[in-house]
Amino acid sequence: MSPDGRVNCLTMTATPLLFSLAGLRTRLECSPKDFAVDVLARFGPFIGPDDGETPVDFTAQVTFAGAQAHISDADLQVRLAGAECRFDTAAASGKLSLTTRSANLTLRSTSPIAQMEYFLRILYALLAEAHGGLMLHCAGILAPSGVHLFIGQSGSGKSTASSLSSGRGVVLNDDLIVLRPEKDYWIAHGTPFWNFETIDRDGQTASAPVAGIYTLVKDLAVYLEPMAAAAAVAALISSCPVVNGDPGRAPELMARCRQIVRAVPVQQLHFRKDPSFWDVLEVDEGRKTKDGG
Amino acid sequence: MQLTDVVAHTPGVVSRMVDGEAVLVDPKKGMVRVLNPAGARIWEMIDGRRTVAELAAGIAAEYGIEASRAQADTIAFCEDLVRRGVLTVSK
Repeated sequence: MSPDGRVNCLTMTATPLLFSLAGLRTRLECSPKDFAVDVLARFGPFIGPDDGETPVDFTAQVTFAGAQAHISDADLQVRLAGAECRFDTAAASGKLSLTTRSANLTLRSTSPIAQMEYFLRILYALLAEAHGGLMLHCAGILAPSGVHLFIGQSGSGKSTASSLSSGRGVVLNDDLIVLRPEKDYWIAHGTPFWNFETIDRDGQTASAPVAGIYTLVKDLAVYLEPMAAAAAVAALISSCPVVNGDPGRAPELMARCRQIVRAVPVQQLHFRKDPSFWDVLEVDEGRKTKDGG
Repeated sequence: MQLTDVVAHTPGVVSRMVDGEAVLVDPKKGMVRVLNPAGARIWEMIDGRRTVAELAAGIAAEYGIEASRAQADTIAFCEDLVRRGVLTVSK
């Protein structure tokens, strides 16, 4: 193990791996060993030593059965039904159960690590929701005042906002952040699930309270605009991957997004392609501090 | 759409009132929509038994507007939601 407590991927036994994200631990039993080493190399900062006795929230057996050239590398196809989730493509097949807290997945793709990442994204969207939190499609930037979350679908400007934040904060992630509740506030946790274009920034395992949530509007002027609570709830629901497609989870998802909107200011951020929006956010933070908010 | 039509929430569409507005979610279609207070009130009144005329009468009474305007607005509102798949209509 390295001095900072992380696992040295060159010396560690291949399996099992203890994957930890947002305080939720998953024991990954990967085979064969070469595949486990690749998983460790990809997700290293989120993988710690496993003594085999550490309590975990989930156990996943993932087998790479060898690449089959005729199989496309399409995203995992998921059928979600209550506490169970089935994967049934030629590239990835298996079952995930929140009831038994276990999954069994067989990969045959030519890009098994990409498939593994899709699986982990789905698993942690479900785990976060099951433990009172949410995975949010957003960029998260840790500034002195807390984590600022920029939500929106692909193309809305999340990655742009992240790239314009140098010197203003640490980018926890530019695509997916996990939120978990803590008393009367919410903690944002960095994830390894980056946009593929920016994968070199992987490794932000930090977490901190959420200071604000912003929907992005590309504009020539830079300013914040209040959002009605219903619009804010709708924006959050739209940004919750996996779980927002499940009718059975919809009532609880709506209630949870309402909780977040009560605890965290959600505003529309009009911004242009320069870092000036940070000046607007800092003024807003100063105003909230002055108001005691 | 006719005033005699009866409308109902489409099964699977989930709603929640938030500060007088309504958030509608259709998970299967990935649709999320917000209704303003008047729309939210109509949504609340829709029970699968009331006609469009009865919904309009309710809105006219609550908002103090003319019956003809309430009917036109209610029809337009319901037609829009039917087009979006969150309301179903039966004759």
